[in-house]
Amino acid sequence: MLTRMFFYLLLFVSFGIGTSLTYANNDSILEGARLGKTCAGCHGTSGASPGRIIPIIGGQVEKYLSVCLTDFSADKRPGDVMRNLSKGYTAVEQKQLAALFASQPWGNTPHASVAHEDAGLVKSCKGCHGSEGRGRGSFPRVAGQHPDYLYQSLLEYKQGRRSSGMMKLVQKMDDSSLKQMADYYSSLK
Amino acid sequence: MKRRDFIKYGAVGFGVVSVCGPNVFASGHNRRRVVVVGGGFGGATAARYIKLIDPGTDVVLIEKNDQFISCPISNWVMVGMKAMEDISFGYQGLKNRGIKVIKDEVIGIDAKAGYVQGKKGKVEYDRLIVSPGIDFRYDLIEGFDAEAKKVFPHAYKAGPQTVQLQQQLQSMKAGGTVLLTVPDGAYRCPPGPYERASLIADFLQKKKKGSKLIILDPHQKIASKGKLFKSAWDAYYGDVIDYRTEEIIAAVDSKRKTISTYEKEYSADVINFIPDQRAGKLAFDLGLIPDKKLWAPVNPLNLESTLVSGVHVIGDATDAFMSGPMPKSGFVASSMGKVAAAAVIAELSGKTAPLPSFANTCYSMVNDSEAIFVTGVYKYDSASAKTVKIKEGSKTSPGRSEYYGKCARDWATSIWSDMLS
Repeated sequence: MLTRMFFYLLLFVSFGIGTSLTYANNDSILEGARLGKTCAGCHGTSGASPGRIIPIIGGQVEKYLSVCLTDFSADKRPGDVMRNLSKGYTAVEQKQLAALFASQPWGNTPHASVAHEDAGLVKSCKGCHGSEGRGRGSFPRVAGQHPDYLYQSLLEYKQGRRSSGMMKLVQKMDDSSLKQMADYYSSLK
Repeated sequence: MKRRDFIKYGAVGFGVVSVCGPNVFASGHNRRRVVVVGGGFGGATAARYIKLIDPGTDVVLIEKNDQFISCPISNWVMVGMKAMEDISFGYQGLKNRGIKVIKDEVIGIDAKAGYVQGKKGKVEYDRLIVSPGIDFRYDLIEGFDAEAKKVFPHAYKAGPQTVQLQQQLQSMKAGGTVLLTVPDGAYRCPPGPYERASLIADFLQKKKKGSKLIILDPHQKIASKGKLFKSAWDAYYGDVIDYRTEEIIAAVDSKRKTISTYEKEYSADVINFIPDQRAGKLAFDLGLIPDKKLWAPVNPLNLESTLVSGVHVIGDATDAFMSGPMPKSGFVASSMGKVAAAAVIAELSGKTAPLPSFANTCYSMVNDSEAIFVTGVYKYDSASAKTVKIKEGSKTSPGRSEYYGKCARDWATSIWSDMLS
């Protein structure tokens, strides 16, 4: 047991979370690190996705990441690779993966759009996503996320392909407004 | 711990030329050293993740080429969707992390003494990870001489042959015929030949009106993502693709530019012959392949060779009956690199390797914008002492889409960065 713990400690340090030892006994994160290295193939090392449409997950809100994995495995989100891959991990493992990626530092998108806030458009976002868009509770961080991913997500909510209570409010908005919202939040840090 | 103050490089004929510079290991006489041979998806990822997991371990990557050229996305280059420079990368990112990258070709090993022998010199190691990739079995085909290799490019290792095939396709006249052969047995990237066929068909349809693509496949049906490829071919390429199954190639004639099965001779303007495959020559040279076998057997827990202790084998060269039921893909090689990295660091500290966890995500384009995909999740099953496929996580996409095409582009950006940055 000690042996394994030592190894996990090494892994833990490697994922850039070693600066704070408060997590040292967090088995969830350590087990997540064993399972989660393969996620980097698409989501980037430590979840800092360098792509455009595959989201940044390192530093994302833990509860939200957990909901994503359960929603994907219950076929509640549109079919992409995550709909398959999530089913390969048990509910416990999904939580461990969420804990791992939530514990990593957030890195803002390198593809941020230049956008000006349209107060009317984003006013209603702030209640859930926070005044700076950094997420809280089970509401995801949207600030600094890839604009293409945010836009794709908003379209999925608009089209009813993805559902989440409050996000119904985008259903009556035109695509250019959604694009503007996506661009705006991508530009926040 | 053995003394590790320098790499004995250049000892053969050059005197002691310390390629790495005398100070590189000066402060680390007692630091452990992992040597990785082969800088592809498996090897580069392994080297990088060892440094990520334990920056205190010296990591040396020995690679015979100056650049990594990616096989995934090379089919895009072939039809002009990407350029060679888009899929070619140097090793500076790894060097910046403190990994010593040495250009050499490894020719032997002394596992007892703990060193690998290259053409230019030797390097000592505490653990060795090799990622030998694949080589081709031309010996099975009558007439496959040096000339035939020039006339019939495989383009199945990205590089000069990718460019050669691209040029042959570009210069072919409209109304011509392209012929592509699918390999038999275990081979690298099971959907690769079919993605290539799709993209060539798309290219012919748009740029070379009236041209045909003959596919000679030894399998009874499309060997990977079958329904998805067939659906796309039926929808888009009914007039272009002539798909023939259970076709075994027996001989080629480079002078007449023909290719023959046991029943029929084919000629074509462009012939892309993708031969059957085996583990890369390096795996044979290092004694990692049993007599009369083609792939390297490994312990499924830590990917250590069952033939040579202290040597871990990763990537396409591994025997799937031993490493696990994963396809020979870049993503799996990268996944294996991470498992081997974690195992090596643990074991060098006298610990037990963590249980392996593998995944696969593989996109294939069916035209210049739409893609299909397959996923795989693989875990170690203690009861059977094997790595097994988790069925629920291992499926194809529900269809094809432009969105998946965008994901495919991101996939490449991400995995290249995860191995080389």
